[in-house]
Amino acid sequence: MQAQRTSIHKRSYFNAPHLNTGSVSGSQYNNHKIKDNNPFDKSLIQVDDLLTKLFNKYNINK
Amino acid sequence: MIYQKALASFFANYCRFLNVDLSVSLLDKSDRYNGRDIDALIVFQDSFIFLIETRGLSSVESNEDRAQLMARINTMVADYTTIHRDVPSFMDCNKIYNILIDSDFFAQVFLENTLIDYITKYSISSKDFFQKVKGIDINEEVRKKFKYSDENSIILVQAILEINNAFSHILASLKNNDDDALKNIEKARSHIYRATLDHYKMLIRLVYTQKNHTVNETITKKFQELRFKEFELIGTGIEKKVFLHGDKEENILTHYKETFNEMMMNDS
Repeated sequence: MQAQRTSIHKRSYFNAPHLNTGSVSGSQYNNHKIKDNNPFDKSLIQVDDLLTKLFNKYNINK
Repeated sequence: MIYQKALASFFANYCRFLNVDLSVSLLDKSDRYNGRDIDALIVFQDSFIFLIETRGLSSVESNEDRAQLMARINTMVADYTTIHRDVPSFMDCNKIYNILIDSDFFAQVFLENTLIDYITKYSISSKDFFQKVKGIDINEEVRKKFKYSDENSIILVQAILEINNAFSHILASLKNNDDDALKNIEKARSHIYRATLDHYKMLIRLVYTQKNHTVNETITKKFQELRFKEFELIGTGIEKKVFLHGDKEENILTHYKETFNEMMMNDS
């Protein structure tokens, strides 16, 4: 089976605070506010792109 | 970079990140940094999965790939701490690196412990969530009920937050590195288990809600029994959450997964 990892450029999120887990109190989160001119976001995208490449190279099925 | 060194580097960097993020996620006023940074947590999660999945490889190429990944994480964390340079340092993250390099802890936790098995199960559940959600035509009524925006919403935030909790427990066990360290590893495993369970429960909710009139009574009864068994086993260790369901003795996680698959088969 082809390895699948959705890159930061394509993925979106499903927040389900009604799911009764211990995480509810921490369910405030941010995403999709990535800005290319922010040095942290730039390096974050670079790690993410490398991970997608490595998951495909090693056929990690996630 | 060999597995052990890469893992030591990973947790030293996670330590530097968390040291800042504990304050920033609660106190930062900007839209960008307020709340948990899911994208950064996914990078840590997937890097950890990569290290675990490739732990048996020792070729020059695999060592170079680990080194490249750790170098990029190092840069990312350095950029993060530079932006938030006003946050004081509370943890000695170099100590984390040294503990993983010098003590028996590495072998106990990252070679021999069932923590690794649970990470593998979690990784499979992420894939299942991704593939099944993409394959379900979720109707408007269900979308509204669960605030499910679109078919690309394949990352379940709750699961990512649970994995972050697991990392925090692993870090705490390294930081304290005392006789109770393995208790924190137990707690880390429980969070990983919980994250895995969340993937399957969310799938069940989405599908069952959509087709509750057509699901046969046998499957409904199985889910009801599973819920009750889950309640009965509250407070027991995850290895003890095992029971005979139908003709199989399995962990509750496997029962949920198989009953979900049965429901999907029943639909076709």
